[in-house]
Amino acid sequence: MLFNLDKKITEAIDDAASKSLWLYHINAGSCNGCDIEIVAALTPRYDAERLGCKLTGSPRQADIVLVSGPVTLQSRDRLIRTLAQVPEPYCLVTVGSCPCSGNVFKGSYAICGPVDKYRHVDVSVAGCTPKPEAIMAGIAQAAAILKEKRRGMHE
Amino acid sequence: MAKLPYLGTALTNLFRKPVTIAFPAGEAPAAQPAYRGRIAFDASKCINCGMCERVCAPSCMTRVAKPLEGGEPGDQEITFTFDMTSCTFCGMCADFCAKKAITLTEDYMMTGIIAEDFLVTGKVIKKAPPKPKFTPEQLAAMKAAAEAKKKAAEAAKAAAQQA
Amino acid sequence: MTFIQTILNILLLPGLAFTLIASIWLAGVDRVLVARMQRRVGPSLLQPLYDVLKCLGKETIIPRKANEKVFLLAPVVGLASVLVTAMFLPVGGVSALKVNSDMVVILYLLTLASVTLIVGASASGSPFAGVGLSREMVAMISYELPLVLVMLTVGRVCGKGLATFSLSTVTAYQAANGPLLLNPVLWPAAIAMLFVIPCEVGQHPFDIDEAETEICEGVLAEYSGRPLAQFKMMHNVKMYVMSGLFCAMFLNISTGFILADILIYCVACTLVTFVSMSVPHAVTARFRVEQVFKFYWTVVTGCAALSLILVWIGL
Repeated sequence: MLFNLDKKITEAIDDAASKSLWLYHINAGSCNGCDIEIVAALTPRYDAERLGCKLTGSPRQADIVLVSGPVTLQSRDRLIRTLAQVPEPYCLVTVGSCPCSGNVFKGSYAICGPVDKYRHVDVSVAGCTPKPEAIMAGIAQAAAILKEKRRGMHE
Repeated sequence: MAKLPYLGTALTNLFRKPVTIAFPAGEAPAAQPAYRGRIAFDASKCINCGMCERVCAPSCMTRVAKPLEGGEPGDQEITFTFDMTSCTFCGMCADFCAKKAITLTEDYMMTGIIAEDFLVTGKVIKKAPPKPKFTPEQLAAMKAAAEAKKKAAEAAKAAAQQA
Repeated sequence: MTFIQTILNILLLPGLAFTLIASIWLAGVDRVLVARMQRRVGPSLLQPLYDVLKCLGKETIIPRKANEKVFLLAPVVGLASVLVTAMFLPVGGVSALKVNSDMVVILYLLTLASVTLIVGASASGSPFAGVGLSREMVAMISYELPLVLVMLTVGRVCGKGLATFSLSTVTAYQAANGPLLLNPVLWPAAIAMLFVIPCEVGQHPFDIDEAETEICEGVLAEYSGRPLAQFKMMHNVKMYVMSGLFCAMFLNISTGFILADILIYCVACTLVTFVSMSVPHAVTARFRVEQVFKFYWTVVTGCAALSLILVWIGL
């Protein structure tokens, strides 16, 4: 094509995949500690919008899915159903210790975690609760993965 | 008519410097003093008492013992593994550690892609206790010999009295 | 020659290319200004472009319950209708398309854009979209009346005894007599128009149809990938169209040099975006549905009607 225009557009789209990150937050039985820190990452002091982050309300528009909480019995099916509705390419980021391991709740009859039993987790952010800086570092790491995933879609 | 209390603030903010920290581009700010972050484990101080494992609520640490290669028979290599994705950072292990081998650092930047990114490990070598000089059989034989000697002595004493 | 000029007008200067660049610029400036008003650094100026490009690169999911054809066609029609609306806006005195009563055409095309949102939402078969579309309808009947009243007022002022619906007449009148914003009788109408802009665009305090925290993005709940990119682009272009419409109706300053005129137009558009969209976004929380309805049918319609009465009794 003219001046390799199609290639340039594809490259621009790949590039945009790591610059526009819409976050969708799933609370899988979290104590609200991590949820507050996620919101804190969007406040003026930390300003995750510099990375292109924006909270969306619909999983259909999500690029990065943030999961917090130890995946309780009640939230397990909802978590799986919601993750199935996210269009590719997307990144699954777990926030806090609970979704990675179950934390102090592990071994309980009401806990079905960790999350990686059900879906591949791209980036984990540890901490109880993680500081907003750590969440932003995790999001930045996920952005790089997202770009690779987008490249993998057309190669 | 509705009031707009933040209008003045918003308009003056246009001409002020943003309060945003430089973090993703620049250095990450230091945590507050006495922040409980990633665990640091000094294996040289550890005496393998196992108290940390007992007080840990989420049981985030594992202790694996295996025979030490190239050591005396009975020597053990004990691996402590602290899984940061499982830790609640309560600090109980550090409080209960008699030798202060466990400390909680101020490093809070714990992100990773695989499980190994979150592990803090340390190896402690547990020497087998020193070997006794005599085997139990030798000890028994020695004891028997001592008793026989004592008996012989008593018998000699009794014979002397009779005479 | 005129044919080639028309084609160039449609494709380049007041037409497609200019519209797309201006809409990305306005949407980016809006986001940066809102961030600065909240003492944040904010995203880059090209953020709306990145958002649209990213959406283009994502998988398009069509829900099982959706009517596929309508679901995919609604955003195309919506984007096309706002792009055509932008053709009627005079940039530096030149507009790509001209008809006798282009204000009526603009009014209908803008309504069409909102209707495509409603149609697309109803075709997606999601209950959240259902709530969103009913809210969008409420927003539509809220802002349509003051918008028509403002247009009538401006038309009456420029129409020499009759109400004109031609934007070129309005701009010609302003070129001769100075911008209409200098006329104190029209100030209530201008204020009403400034309030109509964010509601028509669906900007933050009036985005009751897309309330992401209450009804999961509302009308856009089921959209992903390419159709979502079209709707997002429609939103950006609508931003430009509405601020451009305000500039054409109230702030048309002509110096005689076409380049200077275009520059003044761009600056005026940015200013209107700042005043009507960024400031309310930064200082207010989202309105409730009935609050929007009440506010528009009392305060905004009142302002517009006041100007209309003053103009029609001949002040």
